[in-house]
Amino acid sequence: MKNTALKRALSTVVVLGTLGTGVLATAGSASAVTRDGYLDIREFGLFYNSSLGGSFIDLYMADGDLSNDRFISPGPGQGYVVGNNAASYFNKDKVTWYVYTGASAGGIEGWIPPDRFGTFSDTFKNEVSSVYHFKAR
Amino acid sequence: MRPRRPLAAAGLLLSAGLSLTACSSGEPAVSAGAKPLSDPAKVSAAQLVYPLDPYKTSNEQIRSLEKAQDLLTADCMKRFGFTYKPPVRPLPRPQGTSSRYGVTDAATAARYGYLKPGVGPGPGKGAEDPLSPSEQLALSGPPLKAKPGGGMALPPLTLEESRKTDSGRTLNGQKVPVGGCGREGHLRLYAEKKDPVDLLYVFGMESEAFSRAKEAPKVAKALKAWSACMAEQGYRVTDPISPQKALGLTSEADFGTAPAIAAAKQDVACKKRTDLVSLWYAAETGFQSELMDEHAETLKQVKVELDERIRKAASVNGS
Repeated sequence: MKNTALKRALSTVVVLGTLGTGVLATAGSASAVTRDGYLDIREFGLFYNSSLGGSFIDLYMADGDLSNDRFISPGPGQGYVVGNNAASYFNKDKVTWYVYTGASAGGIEGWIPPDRFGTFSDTFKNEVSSVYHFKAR
Repeated sequence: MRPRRPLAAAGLLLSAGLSLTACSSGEPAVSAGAKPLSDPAKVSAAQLVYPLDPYKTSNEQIRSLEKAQDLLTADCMKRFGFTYKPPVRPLPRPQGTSSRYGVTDAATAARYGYLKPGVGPGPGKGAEDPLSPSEQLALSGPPLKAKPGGGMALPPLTLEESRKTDSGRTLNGQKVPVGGCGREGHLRLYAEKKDPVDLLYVFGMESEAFSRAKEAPKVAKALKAWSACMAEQGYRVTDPISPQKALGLTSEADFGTAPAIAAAKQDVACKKRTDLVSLWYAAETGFQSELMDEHAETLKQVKVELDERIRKAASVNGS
């Protein structure tokens, strides 16, 4: 089962700096800077811990293989692989994002509407391997 | 005999000829004589029907929800004197040949390899006019507070809670909602007074059943046979869903190349030879049924909330 307390406890990265949506930091810009550790408008965030906790990665565009990516913002989980390892999400985009349990939109498909955040279920095994800002199959 | 799940799910299973029995061996708790909802020999993998399908939001319903959320967001932005421009979304595509089991269609594999027809490499995002700082504040709200230990403090979960929470910012004499008008538009549609059942609940159940099925003895055996079949042509792979990386296809630009097409053709042929999709599908429908039994009450709530949400979207959309 993913997201075990043990696994999360093993992450001891010290929290540095202040996190935010980056909205004000990027005010006036229509294009978010992807993978900069700030979750801007039009981006999709994947977090290492449940309930928007820990380090996260901010994605502007689809990513067909999250095993190539690392959590980048300061916090527990920073530097860990994102694929099959994300515990929560925040869709700050204006469009629906689709998540898949397999790379390249394989496996099971889920959808997340704009401005929705949540925790990938602890009840069921659902490891997200790829994400798209459009329906990818 | 295990207890029957109530109402719609029971009717669905009965109509499909499924009968449930106790499970103790890691195999799905569907009797050997049970009939799946589809025949994988007669329909493509992309067209297979599953017990959990009635609890999922259809593509058409998602389009309606998107439209309604746009309208509700625009309504909020209007309070602050702004005109909200909805995003340009890709046109809906017809049902393709791509399935949850990876490549399964011989003709598609021969033409596209591991590319998904009509998808890869996928649409970019349309450029949008820059938002003024005030407009951006109205749409997205002030930055969320940092959570000690990393991450973000959770915004309010319901519209009711949100209206009682001060974002600390005002604009044009009005309080900016926490998360801005984008979040308000979402909450008006999805969570006015009560946080709904996790929108990914059914996705979670499907994922669980999919994974359990993969471990089921018959499927595990077929998976090994598939790998052996692939190895006959020199392909050393173990993942039939997304074998691209193991095949040396590192980006979507590689997925439609001649080597990719050759591998995809072999992939499909091996799945057919080993009956992998049929076995996986049969096991998966059984595990879905088990999970539906275990979570019958929550599923019932999922359906109630889905129906309510769709009705609300239709009302907002004026249809």
